[in-house]
Amino acid sequence: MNHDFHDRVAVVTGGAMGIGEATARKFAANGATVAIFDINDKIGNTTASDIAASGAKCAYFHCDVSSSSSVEKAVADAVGKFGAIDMLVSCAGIQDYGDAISTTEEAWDHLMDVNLKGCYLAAKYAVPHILKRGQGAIVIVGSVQSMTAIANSVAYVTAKHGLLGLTRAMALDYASKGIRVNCVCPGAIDTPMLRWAANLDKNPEKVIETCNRMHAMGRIGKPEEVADAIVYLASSAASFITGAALLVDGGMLVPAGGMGFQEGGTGAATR
Amino acid sequence: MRLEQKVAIITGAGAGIGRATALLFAREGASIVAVDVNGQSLDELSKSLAAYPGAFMTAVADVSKRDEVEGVIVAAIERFGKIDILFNNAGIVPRGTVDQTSEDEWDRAMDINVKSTYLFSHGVIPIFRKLGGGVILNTASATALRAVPDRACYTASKGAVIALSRSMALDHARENIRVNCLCPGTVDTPSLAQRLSSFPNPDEARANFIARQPMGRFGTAEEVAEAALYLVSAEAAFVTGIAFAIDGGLSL
Repeated sequence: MNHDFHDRVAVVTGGAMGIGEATARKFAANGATVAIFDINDKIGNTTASDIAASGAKCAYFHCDVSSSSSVEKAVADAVGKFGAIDMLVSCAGIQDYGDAISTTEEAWDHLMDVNLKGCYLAAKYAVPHILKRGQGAIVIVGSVQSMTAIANSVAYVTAKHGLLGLTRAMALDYASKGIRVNCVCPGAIDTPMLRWAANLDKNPEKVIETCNRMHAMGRIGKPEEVADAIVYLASSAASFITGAALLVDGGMLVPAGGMGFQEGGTGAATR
Repeated sequence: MRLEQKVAIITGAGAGIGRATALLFAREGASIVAVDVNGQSLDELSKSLAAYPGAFMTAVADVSKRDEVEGVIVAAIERFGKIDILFNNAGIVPRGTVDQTSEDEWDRAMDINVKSTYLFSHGVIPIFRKLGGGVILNTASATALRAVPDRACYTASKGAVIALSRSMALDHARENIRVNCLCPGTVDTPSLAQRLSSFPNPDEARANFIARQPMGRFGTAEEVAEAALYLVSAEAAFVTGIAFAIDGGLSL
């Protein structure tokens, strides 16, 4: 165990699968109580009971982060069950492809509502509880696309850039109030969402190969590697870090022009 | 323990961030090669390091001198047989605008803050390659992300450290060598105390420095050391080429 989260409660949105699931597991392994928020009740419940079976306190709460009433209820339910919130990790997100012409207004709104507004809503309802504890941390899962663009992904790139802005704005607002707010910016990570995107292509394995080459290290990342960064930023070891964007991208953004970024790593080229 | 069996060279280990990092890495099981130009500070550090079970050695060296850097690397290999972590942390903080900075001051800052990182990396990367990998961490500064007044030469040197780190990260990514930068904000170290005492009114200067901190306080060397630990540990296995702000929001 690297960090001591004893008596600390973490809310993880999008906690059923992928980076959120890995984060929930890591928090629990370090002694935290974990509230998993997700819209996938079946997988969310399975993940939560699996974590609880290891002896940690963990429960699933249905939460559509794009809905104010749903977030409000999930936060109230989590506080009702666990008594407090100390940490919020905003992981819930969806991917979609399209340029400004091909992206429908409905698709734009839906992605913005989940990826960007969802983080605002989660903070809106969780922060008052964190303030009550006197100190806490928010970690938002951005993307390399919080800092750069990929072709044919206007809504996703825009939302992820927005998340870095939201991170910085909230970091300033709560810096003197004991809440640190940081953003983790992963490269391509081997999650169900990446596999979904790869499967949009006729040859998914070739897409994953291309994704590997997009990183200076020559491979995509693991959810656990991003979870390590999230848990570190949420811990007291990061007590002087706020407003930061922590890239966990295998060096993807290091080279000018990217490592074959223009090849179109995921289903981008085919949609 | 997160750094068991690891050997770490730490420059500027005698005080501040370097000292705190040497102690934290030792606590996490690493063997320490502590480098500083100030021998007395290394004697002090040795007393503290002796409390940990891990091995350590100290080396008095000017990190801007090629022969002295090579001497440290040779001595480290002789003693421990390998190097896993290189933390280029030694640095100086010259004050002033460009027109106030003498050529000698400029050259000295670039030698100590930038060339030292080249010299150590130049010597250690071939060893990393032979051993199958390693980690380099360099101390840059939040001032390289957002400017502050009266630090022209310092900021330029730290910007160079970030650019050098990125170049090395890219060049050696496929050799299992990760290279990252720390960008600390204003940290309560002996170096800061010295800078504050050079103001006509040190108390007022201190208050002014704190006033620009979003968190309302300075960072501690231990907080920066924790970031160093994260970046050199296996938890950061997918992190390379980054400039990581540990600045309490200063660069926002």
